[in-house]
Amino acid sequence: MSDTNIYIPNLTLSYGKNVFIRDLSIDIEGPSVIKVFGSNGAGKTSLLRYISGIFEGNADGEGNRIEAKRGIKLLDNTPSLLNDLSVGENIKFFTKGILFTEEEQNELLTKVGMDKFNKDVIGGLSSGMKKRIETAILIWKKPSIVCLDEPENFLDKDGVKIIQHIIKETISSGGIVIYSSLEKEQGVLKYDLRLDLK
Amino acid sequence: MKNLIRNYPFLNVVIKELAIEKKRKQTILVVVPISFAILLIFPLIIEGRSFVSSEIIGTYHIVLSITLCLLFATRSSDNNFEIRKTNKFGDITASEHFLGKTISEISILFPALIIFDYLTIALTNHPIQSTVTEYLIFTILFSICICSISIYVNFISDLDTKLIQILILSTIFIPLGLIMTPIWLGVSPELTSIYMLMFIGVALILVGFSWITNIKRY
Repeated sequence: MSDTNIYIPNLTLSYGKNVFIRDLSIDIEGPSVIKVFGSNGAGKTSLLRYISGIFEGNADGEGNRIEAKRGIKLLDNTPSLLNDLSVGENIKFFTKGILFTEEEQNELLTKVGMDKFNKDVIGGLSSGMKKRIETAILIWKKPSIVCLDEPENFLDKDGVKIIQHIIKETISSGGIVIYSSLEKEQGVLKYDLRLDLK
Repeated sequence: MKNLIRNYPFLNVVIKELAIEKKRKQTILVVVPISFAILLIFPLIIEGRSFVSSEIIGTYHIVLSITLCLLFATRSSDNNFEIRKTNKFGDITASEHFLGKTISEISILFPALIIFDYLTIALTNHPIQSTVTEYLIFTILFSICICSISIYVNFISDLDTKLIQILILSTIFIPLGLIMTPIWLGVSPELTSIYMLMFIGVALILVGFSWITNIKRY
């Protein structure tokens, strides 16, 4: 049995009286890539937030078991970065001071093509650039479960390649990647299983 | 520094909070100047002249200190969801966040209070009626209480409007301000010791309460 798995029987997610996911059951073992398909408001982001442990609405479901030794990380359309601080300061904070010097930070930023922006303030960067920096942090953290909310948004071709790299890395270490998409058909990002939300 | 953060992870949050404060400069450019302006205008309103009599100096100082603390506590509201999201992304635990946030808030408020007190002395010519040690201990305890309450209120009230936060905070800050009175009025050393013990107790309760509430919410 893999040390990375998600087992959620009969999950119901709601915000107040608005129930958008009812009796959903998931049983996934790593390594695997899951695509969550659904139209706007189907509950894709909420499901990813629930798995990541930051869902703020009401969740009903018993017997949930999520095992992820290296943690679960979510990359969604609202960055987790600190807008007032520079790229370097963000890297320093999110790596808990391990990547302390500019050289160490630039080494990581080179992987996502952002090494020239170390001193730039996050608030002044574009959505795509912010996403690349978050991606760099994800590459460094190597989480067991990666949740990507519409990962192709704001990214150019190179950015999508970086996402593909993360998926590949996570899979090769036996992890699980769950990404949401508005497109039903297979795009540039491959998957093993598709979950359709209505 | 790297090893220090590794051994004491809350320092990571302290550095982050101080860096944000350094960038925003809200306390030094907004909170202290506004309090200073009130300090200048207040005697004109209540006494009709630029002088504060000894009878009301205690009250005068407490009211202005509370004003400064209210401005400080409501200078930026925390979005709980964003905090949880950021902390989750950075693997920051609830304890690290709370400890780091409290220490950074105290290290911003404490110097601001000292600057403000010196301005008050200079403008009113009413020196503090206690020893430097007593003054420093009381001020640090006052800062601890203010910051604990401010973090707690920011956590429970995710409000766009500051009005309710100001109402809740001022209700709690007024009794705290009253405990600070002996420092300004200069009561006997025995009474000061009793007040100090009482203040330590209050500070411990407030920090504990705020800590537990914050950790439970994560």
